[in-house]
Amino acid sequence: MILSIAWKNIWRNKVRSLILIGTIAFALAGTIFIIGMMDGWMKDRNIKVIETELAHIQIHNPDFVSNLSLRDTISSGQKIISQIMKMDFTMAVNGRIKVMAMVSSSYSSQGALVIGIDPDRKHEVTKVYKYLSDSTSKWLDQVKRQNVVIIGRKMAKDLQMVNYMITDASLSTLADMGLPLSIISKLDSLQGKKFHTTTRFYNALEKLLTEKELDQYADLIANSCHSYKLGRKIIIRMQDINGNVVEEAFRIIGVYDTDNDLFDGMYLFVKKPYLAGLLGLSHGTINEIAIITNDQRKVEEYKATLKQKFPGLLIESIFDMDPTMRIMTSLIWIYYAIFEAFILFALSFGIVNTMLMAVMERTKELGMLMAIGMNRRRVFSMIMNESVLLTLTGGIIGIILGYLLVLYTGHAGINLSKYAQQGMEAMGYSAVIYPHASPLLLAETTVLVVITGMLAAVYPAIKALKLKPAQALHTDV
Amino acid sequence: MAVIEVKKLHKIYKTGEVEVHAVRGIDLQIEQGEFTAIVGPSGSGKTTLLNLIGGLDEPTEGRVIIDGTDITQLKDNQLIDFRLWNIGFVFQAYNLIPVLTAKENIEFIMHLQGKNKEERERRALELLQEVGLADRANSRPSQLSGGQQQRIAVARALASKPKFVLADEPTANLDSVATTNLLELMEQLNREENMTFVFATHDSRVIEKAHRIIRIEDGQVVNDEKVK
Ligand SMILES: Nc1ncnc2c1ncn2[C@@H]1O[C@H](COP(=O)(O)OP(=O)(O)OP(=O)(O)O)[C@@H](O)[C@H]1O
Ligand SMILES: [Mg+2]
Repeated sequence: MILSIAWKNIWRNKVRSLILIGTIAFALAGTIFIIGMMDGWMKDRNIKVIETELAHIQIHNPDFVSNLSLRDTISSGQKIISQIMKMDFTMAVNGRIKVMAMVSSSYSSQGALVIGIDPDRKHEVTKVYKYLSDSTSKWLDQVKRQNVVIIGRKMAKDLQMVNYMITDASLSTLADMGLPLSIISKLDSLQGKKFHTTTRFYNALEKLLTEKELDQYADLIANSCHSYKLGRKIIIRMQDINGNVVEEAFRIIGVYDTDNDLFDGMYLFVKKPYLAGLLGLSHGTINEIAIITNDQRKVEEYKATLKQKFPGLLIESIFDMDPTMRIMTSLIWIYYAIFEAFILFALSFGIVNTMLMAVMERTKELGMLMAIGMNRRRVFSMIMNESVLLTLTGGIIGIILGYLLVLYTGHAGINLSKYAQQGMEAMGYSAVIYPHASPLLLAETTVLVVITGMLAAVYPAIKALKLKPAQALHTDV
Repeated sequence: MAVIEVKKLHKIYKTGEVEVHAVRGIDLQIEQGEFTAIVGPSGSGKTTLLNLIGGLDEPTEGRVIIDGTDITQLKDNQLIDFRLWNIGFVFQAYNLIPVLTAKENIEFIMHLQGKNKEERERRALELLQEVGLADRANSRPSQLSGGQQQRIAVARALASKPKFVLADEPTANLDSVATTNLLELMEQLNREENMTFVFATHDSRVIEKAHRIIRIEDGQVVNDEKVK
């Protein structure tokens, strides 16, 4: 009955309550959305890092990390892999060959890490094939030829393995993306011309556009009209097991793009058996084991189990290899909670104010209730209920709205490339955000809303309890 | 034994330097089944006396013994509980919870007493019948006239089965028809159910109906007589 009275009391001053509910709903919808954006962003990076680079756990010969020498392989690697395969937490496990190399095209050369992986995507922990840049790119298991390589978007650009040609289609894409018409008309003169290197294309742009326009739009333009030189060869130079330099031409069959310049500019993927042959490694030799487990949050636990089982090996979790992952997995919830706490703290002033007004204008009624025998606990709980219901109504509406917004944008994606593609991808974050809100976030928010409603009620409730029934009944309001 | 016993009661209000001696040594006994009016000019201390009897205010000196319990000795929380179970109140106004219907208002006090839903409903309907407002059970206070609201307040006061009902100027906001009706209702309840009523008033129409009239002036009883 107290709960129903509290609920009815909220609607005694409809406008005032609706304003507060609206404010809370609006603020929380925004909060959920912003957190959803961050979370989507983090999750995207998290998944990419796991799928393309680090997996959950990696195992090396302890010497490998300091020397990066081919000699420091994992002895009886295949046996270890089959043992790990049998462990409960293992979802996928795989051995790789990782080797430092120099790569060169006819234009330039640079350092790189060559990863020999299982060509068959079904058997491979690394899921770089998910990030192939377009349909013309192929994966290692789609090509019979052995000396083939998959390179990253950044490296393709660095090695000048990109063609640029402005076409009708690319111009209309640019127009859709909001490129000013004045610039599009300037680009018109380049239509149909093919540029074989990034430098030449940018030089051509420089002649047409002002410095400011270049800064703002050059990358956007370049991205819309480029194509990779698939089928071209690059030279990969490495040291074999005996320290001799081996050099081999590899045909580029695919280009991947994980939105992370550091990774895309460094990692090459080739067929493991072929690489082993080139380097003079015996069949089945590996220097890296990558494991995907059934639960990222329990990775440390699994690592400990593995350490016990394979004491001689260096076993690292994703949190060891990329400390930001720890922040993203566990600490991020604290961060979100603090963020929400700030918003709710700001809102609590409005709630306190409304509840205080509600108590003050009901002085006589509260006096009457206490006079006829409503005890302090009940009065307190009535005001508490009222505040929590009021806050929760706004909160639930806000959470639902925010969640719908997250669902909608999470499906469509929010494209920030117009503003900050370069900066974000250099840091390893995608320029397209797919917001994401976990049930945990929604639950956490609901709990915080209830706590806010309760805390905000304390002061007004104490005010109410201080009323003396005899005086309250004779107060003029 | 008297249901209400007041001994050497004093109440001094202090507001800053000013002291108001609102009740100056009142001794009083009220028996079960009385229908008593406390009368006197404005500021004479009627409300103060009623508040002290009802445990809404603490005396500066003296005792208030209700059915053998010295309520001046009770702690705050005990006092609230004591009021809930022993005393019915009808105030001049603001008697009802505006968001509840007439029936729910009557039920509310029984809810505070922890009575179950079935019993609450049965008694509320019974009381609505007695105060002649069975057809307004589902009306909100704002949909009722002042006289109807006061009848509901009387029903609410009786709902908790108190030892007596205190009413401070229950008719002050009512016209003469409503006043007569309310007084007749209270008198009927007094007659048929032997319910004790004590009311403060300076309304002559109310005074006429009283069976005992206690006149106070300046915080002291100046006259106390049984008239019926
Ligand atoms: N809370 C208070 N603080 C200070 N003085 C008070 C307080 N309540 C009442 N008084 C004073 O005590 C005296 C008695 O007041 P009380 O309200 O009991 O009179 P009353 O007989 O009920 O008058 P009325 O007929 O106008 O209702 C008055 O002088 C009044 O001013
Ligand atoms: Mg008075």
